[in-house]
Amino acid sequence: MVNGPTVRGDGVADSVVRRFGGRHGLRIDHCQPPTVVLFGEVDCEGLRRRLGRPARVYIEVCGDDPPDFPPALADHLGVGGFAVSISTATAYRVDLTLAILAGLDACRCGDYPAAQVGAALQEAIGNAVLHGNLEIERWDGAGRLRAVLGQIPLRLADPALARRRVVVSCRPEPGRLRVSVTDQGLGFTCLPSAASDALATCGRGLEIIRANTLSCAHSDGGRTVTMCFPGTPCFPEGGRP
Amino acid sequence: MRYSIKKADKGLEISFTEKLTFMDAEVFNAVLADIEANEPHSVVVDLSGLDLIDSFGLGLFVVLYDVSQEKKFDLTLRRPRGVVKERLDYTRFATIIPIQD
Repeated sequence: MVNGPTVRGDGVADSVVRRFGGRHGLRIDHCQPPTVVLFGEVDCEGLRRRLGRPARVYIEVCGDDPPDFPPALADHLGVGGFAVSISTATAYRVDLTLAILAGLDACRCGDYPAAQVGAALQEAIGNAVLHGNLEIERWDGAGRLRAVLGQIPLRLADPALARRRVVVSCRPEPGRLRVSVTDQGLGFTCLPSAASDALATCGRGLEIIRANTLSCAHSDGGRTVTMCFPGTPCFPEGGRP
Repeated sequence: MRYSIKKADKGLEISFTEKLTFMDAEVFNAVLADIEANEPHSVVVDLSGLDLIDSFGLGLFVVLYDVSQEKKFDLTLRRPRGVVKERLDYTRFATIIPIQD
C-alpha cells in the first residue's frame, strides 16, 4: 500500500480519529480509500452501507475514547479480507450477518456459498452475543429459555456487558474462505448436539454451523470459532483491491 | 421479526415475517403476552412471510409449544417455506406441533 495504512472517521469526532491514528501509526488521508474505518452509531442499513465500501478494518466507536486495536484486527492491515469490531449492544440491534455478506461482496471475495456463510455466521454471532458476551448460560428446557427472554434485556442494560466486542474476521485463502467470530466472554465448552430432537431448546447452533462449513474449530477457550467455507478468492493475495 | 395478530372466533392467527433469531427476545415476549392476554382456544402461526430462522428461533417454538400445553390451547404452524421449512423438517417439529402446508 502506498504511504502506509490510513484511517478515516465516519460519524466519529475528528479528535478520536486523530488519537487512534497517532496511537497505531495510521495516517489520516481523505484522498485514498481508508484502510481502517472508525464509525459511530449505526442502524442495519448504515452498517451494511459502511461495509459495502472497501476497507480492511471497520471499528465501531462507543463513547469519546479511541477503540482498542487488538492483533485480530491489526493483522488485517497486511493481509486480504476484512474485519469488523462492534459492541454487543450493536450486534444485538443490527443484522451483522447481512452486513458481513455485503462486505464480502464489496471486497470481491470471489465465489463463496452465501447461504451457508449466512447460516453459520448467524449462529456464531448469536453464540458470541448470548453465551459469550452476555454470559447467558446454556438453557435446557422451554421454561429456562423463557426465563432467558427476560434476562437478555437486563444483560444488555449492563454497560460492562453491552460494550464487550464481537469481532468478525473474513479472510480469503487459496480455495476457501475463512471466517472467525470472537467474543469477550468467559469461554465455552462444546456440548453434545441436540439437532434432531424436536423438544430441544439448545444445542442446535453448532450443528447448523457444522452442516454449513467445510470445517469449524474453537480456540481461545471457546471465545473464537473459526469456520471455513469453499471459495475461490479472486482478488490478489495481500489485500482487498 | 415482525408479527401481527388477528382474532378469529375463539382463536388467534399470528403472522411472523422477516427473521426469527436471537435478536427477537423482546418481540417474542410480546407475542407470548398477547397470547396469554387473549386466552385463546387455538393459535395458528402463519410462517409464510418468515424468511429465516436460527437455532434460537427454533427454541422459541418449543417455548410456544410449552405455553400451549400449560394454557391448554391448540397450536398449529402454517405454511413454512424455504430454509424455515427445511429446519422444521430436520428437527422433526411436526412430531410435537402440527404443521400445515
